Amino acid sequence: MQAWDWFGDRSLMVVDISLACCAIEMEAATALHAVHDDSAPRGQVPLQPGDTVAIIVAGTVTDAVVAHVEQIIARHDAKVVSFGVCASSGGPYWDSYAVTKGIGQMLEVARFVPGCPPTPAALHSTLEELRA
Amino acid sequence: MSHGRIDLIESRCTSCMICARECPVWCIHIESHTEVNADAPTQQTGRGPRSRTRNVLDSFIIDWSICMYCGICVEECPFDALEWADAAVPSADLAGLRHDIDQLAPT
Amino acid sequence: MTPETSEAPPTKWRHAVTTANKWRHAVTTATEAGFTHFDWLDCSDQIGRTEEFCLTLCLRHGDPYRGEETLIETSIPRDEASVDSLSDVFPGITWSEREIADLFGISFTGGDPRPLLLPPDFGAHPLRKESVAAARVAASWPGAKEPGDAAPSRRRMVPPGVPDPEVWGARDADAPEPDPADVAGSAEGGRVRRRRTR
Repeated sequence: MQAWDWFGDRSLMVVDISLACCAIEMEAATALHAVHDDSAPRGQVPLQPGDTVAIIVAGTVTDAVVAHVEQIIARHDAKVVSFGVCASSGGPYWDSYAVTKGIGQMLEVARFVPGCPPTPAALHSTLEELRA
Repeated sequence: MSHGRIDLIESRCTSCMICARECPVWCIHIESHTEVNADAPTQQTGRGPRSRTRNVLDSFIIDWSICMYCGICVEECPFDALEWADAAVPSADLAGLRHDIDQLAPT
Repeated sequence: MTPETSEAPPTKWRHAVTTANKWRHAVTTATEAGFTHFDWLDCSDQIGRTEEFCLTLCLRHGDPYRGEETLIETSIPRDEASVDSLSDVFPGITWSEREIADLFGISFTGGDPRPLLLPPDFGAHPLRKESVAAARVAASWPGAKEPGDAAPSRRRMVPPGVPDPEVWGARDADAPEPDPADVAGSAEGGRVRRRRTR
């Protein structure tokens, strides 16, 4: 599994499960982070045993996909971040026949980042809290 | 001004429910009650005197885990009680994303 | 929409309307005239206007990107929602047909009958306008209260997307199935008015 070494010191490895438009926001957040923080390594590196991992679920989780998301998360001892309102509650699609009304229903989630979409700064400050 | 969050200016809110009804995702929850306004003169109607009442806002919750930042509530509020603000809503657990009057107040 | 086959010369077609039983004929006429590239197939529920679905096919002449496009449209009756499949004319259309079969409940005769997006036991066609968003019915609408009232209003208000309970929902168990047009029409939101009886 590939991950971002977000702070450049292996204190928090970041894996993203990007499912909808928030995937683009994740890309923007990682790109912006690399530009602003010189210590942040470019690109992703392989996870190693013992790493502290944050898995970011970004975007709309549908009932068809939620089992796969759970499977990926179950393979890691990771803190789960719900990125954006779709992952948190279903967001604009909370009434849809196909959309899961929040991953908090099946997973233990460390932080819900609000926003449609959340800003890169919102993700960064959440990761800083998780690292502490 | 960026669309980081929506502030509630409590003194302007009349509990009219328009924002709660217009919200496409149903993320605004309002509790209010009616009080007799003792200072106002009673109003003479065809059915005799009637005291003036006003709505008192008890609770105004925006659930940031659902809000899609469309701004329809800001547009629709007839009293400009809702405003965009820069600061983003910090991440939290689900209960912590339900912000009431105090947390929605402008900083 | 007039249910007739367009008599316009094929090369000048921009928008042709055909009956459901001539659907296949109209499309093959267009492909013979050079509109050989399948672009998209779409469907809309016309309930409230007519008791039909409107199926629209977009074809392009030659070049998939710059070729002249033509739209071919047909109306499919709700009570007999079926039309010929075009999967032997354009293999790629099967995907769109299966999607429309799932979401609108239209069967494509001679096509691939397997569901594409929905589980086989889903039991509904969510893009039909009488299909009710159950999550909205189950949730209590924050706008149902009147200003100053703690409890939901006595003047009953239903939110957009939730049909009038008298039409759909807590109905008499022995009553006949609600009319799809009434369900779709009553889900527009606002104060509940007594609807005219047919």
